[in-house]
Formats: sequence, structure tokens, C-alpha cells
Amino acid sequence: MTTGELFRPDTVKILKTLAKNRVELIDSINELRKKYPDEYVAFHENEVVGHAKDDNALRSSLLKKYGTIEHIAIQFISSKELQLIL
Amino acid sequence: MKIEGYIAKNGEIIIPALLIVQEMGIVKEMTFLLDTGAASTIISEGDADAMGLDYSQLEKGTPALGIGGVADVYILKNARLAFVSGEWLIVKIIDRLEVIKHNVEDPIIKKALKSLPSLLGRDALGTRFGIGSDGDNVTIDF
Repeated sequence: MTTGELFRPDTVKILKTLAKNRVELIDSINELRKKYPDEYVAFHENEVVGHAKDDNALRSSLLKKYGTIEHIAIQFISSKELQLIL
Repeated sequence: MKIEGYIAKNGEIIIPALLIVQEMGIVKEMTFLLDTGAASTIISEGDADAMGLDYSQLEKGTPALGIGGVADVYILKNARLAFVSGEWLIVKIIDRLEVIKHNVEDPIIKKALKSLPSLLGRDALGTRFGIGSDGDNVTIDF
């Protein structure tokens, strides 16, 4: 198997959508922290499309609902505001 | 080469990439936070969990030391990162891609640490690069 065979035709589109969803999730993090403290949140097209305390449960429910979830940004939303120091 | 990403309102630069590790059957769409202060590109514990990575199958590396403390490091060998460039993917080979695992007992802190992003560091960028942003879209030339 070569690396080229691993790319699906829509891989670029999926990656762009995933990154946009991630940025929109970051932009909404304070609002999400109030609504979904200490939960995993799934974000797509500026909307919460799922949330759960357990990430595996969330992924399973999203898979049932959407079929594929590679383009959806999923993140644990800590109730405590954490400063990322790099 | 020129790769693409996006910038959040807080200034975080998010770079999408497809992670490929053929020997382990890993093909995973993911995002990285651009971190020019990081010596190495790092897969976060949260992303490692999401791809079902089995740490017991990985070589243990030198512990990572950061401002936040020390964490265990595992190595993904012969990894490839495919970045978006227009409608194409540009593949960068990373011989030893680091995966972070935190040693924390507190369940709340442990979960919070899993919300940390994977980092795109200087091993991927090299020493000659330029970053451009129009406020929404980011391009990195390297």
C-alpha cells in the first residue's frame, strides 16, 4: 500500500472543515464552558451537535446520527478555565 | 511549500493534517496548534485516545519537560503528516513523532489535560518559514 492510496477523494475537504470547526469551537469556548462544564462537546458549523460526559458514548451517538465524524471537532470542555502556556 | 490553516479570535493558529502511520494502521484526520516554541511536534493524550493508540506498542522516549511539568513521551516511528495546500495534500515525514502521556491521579485534572491540543513544532517547520494571516486564514511557507 502506498501513501497515496490512503487519501480519500474528500480528505482535503474533511480537513478544512475539521479545522474550521475547531477554530469556531475555540472562539465559543467561554459559552460552551457555561453550558457544558466537564463534558465532551461535538461542534460543527458553529453549533453543538452533541455532548456527553463520556467521549466514546458521544462518538458512538454521532456515528449513528451522521455516519462519519471525521469532520466534527470534539473536545473536553473543562469547567475550570485553563491557561495554555506554550 | 505552502500549507494552510485558520486563526482563532484568541490568536491560536490551527493547522489541519492527516496523520498516517502505515505500520500501525493509523490514518487520522486531526488538527494541530502551531507552536514555534515547541522543539517537537507532539500528539496530545486526548488525540492519542481518540485514535485508540496502544501505548504498550510504542517505544518510550525521553520525558518531556515544559512549563507545566514533566510528562511521559512515546514514539510513533515513520509517521507522515499530510497538510492541506489548496486542493492538494503535502506530505511531511516525521521519523519519530512524539506522543504525550500525563501521569496525573486527579480525575478532573486528568480529563482537563486531555483537552490540550496536539502541537505542530519546529521539527515540522524547520528553520526557514514564513507565516501569513488575513485574520481568518493562515498560510505557512516552509
